[in-house]
Amino acid sequence: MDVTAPDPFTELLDQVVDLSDQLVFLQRLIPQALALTDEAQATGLVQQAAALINTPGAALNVRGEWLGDTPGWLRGVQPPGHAAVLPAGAVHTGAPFIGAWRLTAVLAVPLEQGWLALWGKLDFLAGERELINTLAQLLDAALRAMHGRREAERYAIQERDRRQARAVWRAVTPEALRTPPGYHLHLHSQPASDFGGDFQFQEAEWIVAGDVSGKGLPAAIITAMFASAFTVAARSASLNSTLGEALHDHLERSGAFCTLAAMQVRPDGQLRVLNIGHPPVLLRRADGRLEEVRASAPPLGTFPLLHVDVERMWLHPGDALLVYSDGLFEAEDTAGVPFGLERTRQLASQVAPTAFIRQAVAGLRGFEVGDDLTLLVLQRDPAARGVQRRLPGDLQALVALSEALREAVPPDHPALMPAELAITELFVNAVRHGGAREVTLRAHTSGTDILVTLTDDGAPFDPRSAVTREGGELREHGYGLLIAQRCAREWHYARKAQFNRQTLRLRAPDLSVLT
Amino acid sequence: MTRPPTTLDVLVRRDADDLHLSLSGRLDAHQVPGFLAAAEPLAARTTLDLGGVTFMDSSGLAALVRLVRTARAAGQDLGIVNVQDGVRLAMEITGLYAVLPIR
Repeated sequence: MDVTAPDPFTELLDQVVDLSDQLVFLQRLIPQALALTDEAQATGLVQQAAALINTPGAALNVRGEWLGDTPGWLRGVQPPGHAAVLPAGAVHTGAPFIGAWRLTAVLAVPLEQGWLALWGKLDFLAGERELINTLAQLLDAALRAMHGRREAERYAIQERDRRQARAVWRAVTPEALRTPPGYHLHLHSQPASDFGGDFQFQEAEWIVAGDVSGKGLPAAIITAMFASAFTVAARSASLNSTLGEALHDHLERSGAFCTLAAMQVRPDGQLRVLNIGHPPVLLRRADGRLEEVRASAPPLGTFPLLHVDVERMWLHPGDALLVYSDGLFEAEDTAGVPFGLERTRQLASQVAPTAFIRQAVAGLRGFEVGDDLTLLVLQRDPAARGVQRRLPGDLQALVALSEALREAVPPDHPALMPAELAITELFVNAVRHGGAREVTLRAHTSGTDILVTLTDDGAPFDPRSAVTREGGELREHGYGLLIAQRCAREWHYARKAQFNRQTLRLRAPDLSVLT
Repeated sequence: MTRPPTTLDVLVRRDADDLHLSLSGRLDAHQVPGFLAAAEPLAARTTLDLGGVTFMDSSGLAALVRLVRTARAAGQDLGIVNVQDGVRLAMEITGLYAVLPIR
């Protein structure tokens, strides 16, 4: 018997042993593959398979990256389109890998997202190729499962962040606001996502509505920061500089900016309103006339906050302040035409403040609201005693002016006579010197004060600047504005579109301090 | 509640050297031209009785000042009597209460 030639039985036995080894390997491979948590473990499995088929070289490429040690020559080999054995000599394998250089075949098997290569033998048997194909299929399934698990984890983390951000968001920007006594307050807060850039909050007598650039957690954090900075600023004497100092640097560093409209609401109808980069706030008078409070400073975070106008005004019974975000007028219809500021103004003027939100939302049907939508309406109780009277610019109307004032003020009110004196002077002044064709009186009382807004369509003129003369001389002119000044506890002037607006707090003058 | 007056009534009693003007109602910018037309020319002795005047604005005050200065320039006598609270307030605010010939 020729001992060098393997007898068929031994050969068969070897094959069975090999087959058995492979089956055992596959049996172990399946649970390992299913438990795969990273690509390095996948490389380990490939190397175990290589050892099983007695070849020293194996490497795994996933999504264009070689995992583990890979010889340089392999990096130049193109990924295969299908499983193939590149015969010995077809690939230049470069420098010898173990001791001496010798020819080797390369078994290349594609994966869904990569491929694997085995080398180090002259040829790969059919059974070995089968085994590696099976390994490749398993790896595909394992890598896919691993990828899915990672996606799920990432999603879970995002979900958690989102929930936390929303909690932060709602804590600082509540869905409902407290209604100040003597007013009606309506709020419509409709974020474009779970939490938006729009925000609103209250701090003591202040109601603040604004818009932070960006969305999600960063915007929520900036809003929270903003709310706390505002709390401090609102208590400080210099609201502007405190707000600017507290926020500008943060916003600038984070590359964010913030617009806001803030109003301090006093029980007697006195409002202080400031607008930093926000769309025009609309003061809608009870008769539908609009006055705008436009931004007097650019958004926070863009330029240092040097100055903001704080506008003083009275909300007389039925008057309302309307605040809205750009989500309203930037909403576009199917043709891409925006809802627009003009339509916003028309709506504000034409519908009662109580219906503004409902009508705006209805008017947005057919429009795509791409951004957060915030609508806020603050109306002074229309049932309270007050007056609003439009009078012709004619001195004959002085009697009607007097009668109108008495509709708002009881006859025994201590400021009635000073108030009548003051508004008579201002009326005459507007008609005689400003050429006003129309003067509107709005008034209501607050304790011993009478709050008056006088609006005329005369030439732009701030009468406060004209009070120069002293009393007590026998002259025939120049008493009028002196009277107004001495009866006015507060006297504010603003030019509003084509109107002069004077906002006065009238009180019986303390005659003991006059000469 | 009584309605405040809407006009100005001027009762004029004029004899040789005396002029007595009795005013009631509002003396405001709208009423001043009528008031001056009734008051001028002044007499050697003129009395302005403001007892019925409920409201006077700066135009009304200016009209009084004008009459006072005219009388002084002509060496005539002019006195203001019966100043009511509302009118007195306007005079005090402007400092005129101390310089007008109120008797």
